[in-house]
Amino acid sequence: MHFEGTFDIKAPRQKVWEFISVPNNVAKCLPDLQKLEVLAADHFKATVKAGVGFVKGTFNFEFRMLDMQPPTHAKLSGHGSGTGSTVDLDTAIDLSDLPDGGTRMAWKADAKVGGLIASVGQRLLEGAAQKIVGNLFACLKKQLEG
Amino acid sequence: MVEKRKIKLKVNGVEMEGEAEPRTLLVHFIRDTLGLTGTHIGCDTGHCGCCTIIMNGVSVKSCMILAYQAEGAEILTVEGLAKDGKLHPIQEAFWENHALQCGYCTPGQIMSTFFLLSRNPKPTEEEIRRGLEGNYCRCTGYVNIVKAVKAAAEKMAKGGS
Amino acid sequence: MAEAILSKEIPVLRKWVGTPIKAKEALRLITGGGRFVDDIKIPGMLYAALLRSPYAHAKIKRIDTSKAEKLPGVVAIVTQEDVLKWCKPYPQIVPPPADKLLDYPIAVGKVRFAGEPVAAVAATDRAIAEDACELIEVEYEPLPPVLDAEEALKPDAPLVHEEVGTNLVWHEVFDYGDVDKAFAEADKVISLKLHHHRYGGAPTETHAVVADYDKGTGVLTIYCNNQMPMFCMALIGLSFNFPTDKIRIITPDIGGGFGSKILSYTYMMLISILALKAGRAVKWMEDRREYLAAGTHCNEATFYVEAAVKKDGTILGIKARTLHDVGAYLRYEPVGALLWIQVSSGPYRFKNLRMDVNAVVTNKGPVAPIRGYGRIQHLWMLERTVEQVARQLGLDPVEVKLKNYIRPEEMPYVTPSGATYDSGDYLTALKKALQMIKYEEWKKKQKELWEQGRYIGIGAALFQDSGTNNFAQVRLIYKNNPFSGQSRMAEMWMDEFGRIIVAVGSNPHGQCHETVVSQVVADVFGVTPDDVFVVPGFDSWVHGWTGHSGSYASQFAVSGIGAVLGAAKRLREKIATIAAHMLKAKPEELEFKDGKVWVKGTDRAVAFWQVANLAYRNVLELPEGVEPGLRVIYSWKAPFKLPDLEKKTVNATLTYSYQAHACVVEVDPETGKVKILDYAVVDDCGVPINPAVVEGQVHGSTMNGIAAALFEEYVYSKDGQLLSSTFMDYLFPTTLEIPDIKVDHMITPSPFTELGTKGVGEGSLVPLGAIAGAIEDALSPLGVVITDSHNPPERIYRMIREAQKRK
Repeated sequence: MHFEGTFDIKAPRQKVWEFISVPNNVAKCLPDLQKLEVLAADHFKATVKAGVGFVKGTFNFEFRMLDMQPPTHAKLSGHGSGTGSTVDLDTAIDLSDLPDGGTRMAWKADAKVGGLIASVGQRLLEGAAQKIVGNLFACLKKQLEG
Repeated sequence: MVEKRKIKLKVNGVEMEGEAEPRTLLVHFIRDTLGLTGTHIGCDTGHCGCCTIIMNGVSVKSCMILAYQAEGAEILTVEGLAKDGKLHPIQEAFWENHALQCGYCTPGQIMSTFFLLSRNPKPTEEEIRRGLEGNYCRCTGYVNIVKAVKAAAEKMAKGGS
Repeated sequence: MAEAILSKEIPVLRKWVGTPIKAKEALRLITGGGRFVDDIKIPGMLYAALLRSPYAHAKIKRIDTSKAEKLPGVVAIVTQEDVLKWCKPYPQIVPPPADKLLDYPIAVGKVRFAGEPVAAVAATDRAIAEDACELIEVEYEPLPPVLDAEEALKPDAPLVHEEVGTNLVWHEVFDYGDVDKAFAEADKVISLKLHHHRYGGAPTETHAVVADYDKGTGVLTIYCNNQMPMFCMALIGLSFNFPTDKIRIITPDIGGGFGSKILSYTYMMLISILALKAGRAVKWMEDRREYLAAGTHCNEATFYVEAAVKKDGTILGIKARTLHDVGAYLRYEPVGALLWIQVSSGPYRFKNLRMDVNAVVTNKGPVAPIRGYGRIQHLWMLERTVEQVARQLGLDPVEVKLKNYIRPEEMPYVTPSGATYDSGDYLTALKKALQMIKYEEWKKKQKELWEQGRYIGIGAALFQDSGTNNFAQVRLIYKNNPFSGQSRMAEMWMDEFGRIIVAVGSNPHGQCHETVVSQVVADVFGVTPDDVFVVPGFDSWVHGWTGHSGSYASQFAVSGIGAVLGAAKRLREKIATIAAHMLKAKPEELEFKDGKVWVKGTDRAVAFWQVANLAYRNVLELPEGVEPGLRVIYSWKAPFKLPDLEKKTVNATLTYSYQAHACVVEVDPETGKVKILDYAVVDDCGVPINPAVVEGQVHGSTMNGIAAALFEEYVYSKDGQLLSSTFMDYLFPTTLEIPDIKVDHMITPSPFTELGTKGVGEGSLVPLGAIAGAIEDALSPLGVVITDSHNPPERIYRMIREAQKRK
């Protein structure tokens, strides 16, 4: 599945960059976070509760921040498994300045889901994934704008 | 260690009890704890009807009920139909009309038929097909099952049980 | 109706053969007394759950079972490490290089389809075992999957099996007659691309295994619901590092098979390894999701067909290039890609045929000998082709079929592939089926109905059900395959009280073998079927078996009954010898009637128990040269020959049942939904031993065909996830989807079998042909051509819209 979007944040680019490069900040925006383990500045494990329709469960994710080009570009890649399913997520974030001093965040996400959720939940998958991904970025924006 | 609780219920006219966990399905309780293996499992989504039993007078798919929900209930399984070695008219009708081949879906078909005829003693073919919509069969193509239900209805009208 | 041929060798009474008596095995099944694998309990038994791959294609980097092992209640876990200690890779029947294909009971190094087993857990209950599976950590490196046969043949396609070096695991060209001449002489050449979809057997009982290893005796008992476990012993024996003399296989009642319960030897071995590791018996029952993903699918095939025809509709020859998508492993393949040779020209008399056959592996579930294995795909292809020949020539499809059918007087008929059709009257059967649905009346009304905006069509097709197969056909895959012929064993004895007992060596799952065997034996001994006890189920230590034993390939009425008849005659002969001695008569003067042996035309007789007394207890009174006891074994062998490897011909099957189906359908142009208005079948299986059993199987196979044509399909996402993974999406039809099916019968006995019987269990899923034809007929004003074997509303809707756009 592929999703992308853009939104504008009322905060300067450097602040946005510093915010998203801290694993704790990003992790707070994951759905129903149960546990967070920061292993390094660019590497963290998170346990989340997520699901599609009636297929809900606990997922153990491992995320890495890659290809960091401050303060413009970053990649967040993660692999999660749980409830007989797997999720492989690749996201890319691009930041640019806005004339009013804010920041434009352009994001892309590619998600591959396998196992139980992919087969039984497939009709609901796209909608649910869109919601989760959308919520993640909306949450980041909210945190940044205070 | 997971909590286990004792459940008491009446099965085929006999008071029975056994232990179950909160997540234990009634079909597993009947088969594995009570040892009544005539009720079968054919799917994991409540579609096939192989697990059909009568609970408090109504047909239910026992894979869709938790054992705890059957506390104090009156249950009838296929093993409880024949009395003193005499087959129930529905069982006779299934046998005489070759309404089974491998026999795996058969207990469920018979219990659904029992419920259908208890509510509608003279069903039309359409009503029979609707009544058994929740019972899958792979062997018979349903043709002889429908015939058997019609025959069972006739037998019971003449004075079966 | 032709007269049944009576056996000349022995005066069979024919009192019971041919009568629709009630099935004996039904009594325990209607009272909940059936004993299926999941009903078996062994003291100390553990319960297994399998962890399966969520990826269609991935490397296994690491498996960590440490957390799972700590879960209370978990006793043993098996992964690829254990399997590699216990197993050699399964032998393959293909020539190099695909013979290097590695196949084990569990994924080793790589997972090749979503749903492939990766680990097995044994715990004190199933729920704990499943919890433990959740705790097993597997690190995968996903690989791009290949999900289409044509994609898999491209040079840059991902390889499913790197050790083979290609995804093309078998390729062979069969050239019969003079195809080039046929095409040169044709008035017209019709070309079609056809696709036969994936569906499955879907019996209501899934696979199940209980493995019980007894340390004291060293015996491993495997309870399973495999349809032909003794055939599978070839694969088990060659791959399992366990002494075969100490493996005992038992099949109790089986809840349907339909061909899918043939490849469960992988589970038989996996659960046995788990039991050996756990030191306790282990039970595993597959759940429905597992079954739909991995429990085997039917051959998916793409056909590029060309037909050379004369403008009067005569078919001169056919060429086809076929791609069989066999999934991630071969297992029984490429037999499914070969079995068209049993019905090479279908019911038609064209002599020129070229088949360019390709078997391709993909990252989808493995295929198995699903009902009608390999013949359905071919017969459906032929039927589609013949109907398009008619439509493109402006002729009536029914007339073209009747014109090209083999005539009954041409039987026995040798087909282009060397398979011989024993008997049959295809023209009468098709005409009868059309009569049953009032074909002429519908045809008259059809134009008017179209004008009213109602799309009603009539379809009719005839498929053969080739039965009793010659295993030598696999030498056409690879000449070195050490398989040939067909055989069965039966053991029969009379106990000292005169009771008759039979152990048949089959694994019935709805075919009522206990009943039909009793009928045949009753006729030989002049008793009733209730006087004959057929040992239920199968036990490899009790029942005689050969490497062909099992219940598959539409043949029990020929092969199994052949063995039973042979044993019955041997036993009867011995009894007659002793009785003759007791009655001071000659064996030819005796007759068997009412449980006694009589001197014909007199009132002098001995009861069976009196004969048995001499044989078992009173042996000094036996006649000279007669051994004590009344127990015989007979092995039946089919009169087959080895193939001609040069011409690539073989007499592949002994008998040919067939069914003509005719149906009337209405297609809703708004939704694409198909409603069956009328459905009729004419069935001919030679002499039926029990007409009720036969008719039941005709109903069932018709339902299977309707299900495949309109409802059931295995659909994969572009990532290789199986989307039709539960009954919510894999549409198993209910009482509301299947109409009433009218059945009539014909009997053309087989000249090749003792009683004139033909095997009938598979039934060939003729609705695939009849319904496709009916839909095409209904939509013929729009010029819609049906090229898929599966036509759900969405596909029909799209075809209607596209056709309307073209107009």
